[in-house]
Amino acid sequence: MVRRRLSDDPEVLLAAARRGDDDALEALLRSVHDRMAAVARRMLRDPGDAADCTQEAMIRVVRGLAGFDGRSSFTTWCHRIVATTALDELRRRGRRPVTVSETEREPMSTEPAPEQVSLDALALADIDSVLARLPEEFRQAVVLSDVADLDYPSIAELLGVPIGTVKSRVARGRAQLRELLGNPSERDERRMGEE
Amino acid sequence: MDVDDPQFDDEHTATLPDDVLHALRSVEVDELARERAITAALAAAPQRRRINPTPLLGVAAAVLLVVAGAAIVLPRAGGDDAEIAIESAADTAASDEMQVEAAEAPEAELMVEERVASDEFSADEPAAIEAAPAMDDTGEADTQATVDDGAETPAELFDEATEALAGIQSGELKPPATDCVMMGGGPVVITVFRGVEVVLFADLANGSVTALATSDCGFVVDYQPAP
Repeated sequence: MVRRRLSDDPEVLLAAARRGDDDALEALLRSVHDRMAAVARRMLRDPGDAADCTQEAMIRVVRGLAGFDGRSSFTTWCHRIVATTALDELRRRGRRPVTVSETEREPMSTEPAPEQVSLDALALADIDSVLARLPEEFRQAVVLSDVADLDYPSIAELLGVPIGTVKSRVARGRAQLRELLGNPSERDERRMGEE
Repeated sequence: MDVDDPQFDDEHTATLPDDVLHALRSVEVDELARERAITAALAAAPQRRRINPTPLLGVAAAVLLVVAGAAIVLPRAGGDDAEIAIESAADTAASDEMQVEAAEAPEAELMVEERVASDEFSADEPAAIEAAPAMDDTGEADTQATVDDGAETPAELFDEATEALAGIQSGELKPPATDCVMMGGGPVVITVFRGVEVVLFADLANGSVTALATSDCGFVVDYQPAP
């Protein structure tokens, strides 16, 4: 009887996959797929496009495995690849990021706008809809930072903007997202009410 | 006008609450899409080597070992040919009483140690070699192609690999440059086996040698001498 037990350690799997072990490679791909899919989905929003993007990114991962230099973690490297693939897709579709106007640099009002009130009533499961309300540049920055777990220099390189701009976009994007979603206590009350 | 604030101080930038982060990172993944993506990615891998514990593929793995132990050289017209050859031999292997054991190597969880009872399958069995003659374009057996065309038996390959490995370990030789990779072993020499240029991988843990075609890194032969 042939028995085989694969390690859960990504580094062990990675080493084996790079030696040509397909079982290890498959385990490695399974371990990163869902998070890569989340990055693609949050970047592209369309589920079909996100699935295609994830698949293309995973192919890029496999083809680039021999050149992976280990400077970042394997997971981060995969996230960067799927983010790059998603940005490529956005550029290919001509969906240029929405330019953020000067007025959006002003501190946000503490009074919820009518649109924000309606969004605040959304369940957390609808976060995709709320995320879509962010200016695209803010949304991309938040997704790359908080979903893909990329650091500021990596995001800056991907987006082709200065690091300070990335920090600004992430901060403002998070602030808008928090405001649109409401504070934690409000969310808890809302969930308890739903239950 | 884009926001460009190089002096932006993010020291006090609030992170998102855990439940929001969790929601952001959790998307409903279609099972079919996941399998499709993984399958496509695996298909894009430059070289494939799989040992699957499921019964059906386990038989295929057993066949692989039977073939290697019997020193049957698979036709090297392409990787597909090898797979077909393995499939066609599956029924025969299923009826064999040959024992195939795999144990996890203690020093590496991923290492699969395979032991073949090779008493019944001599590596130097000439009949086995003749069972897979090279074929020409017309489908006729080309018995002349095997003459003076590199090593003829896996045992000869093993000797070559051992000699090359000793040279590498003593510093006299350098490992050959190759794009082929093999789990558990490093490349030791590029040579010719029955007219096919191959790169030999010596697996110290298993005491075996594996030959991959340099043209496409396809599997040619795996050999482990009887203890």
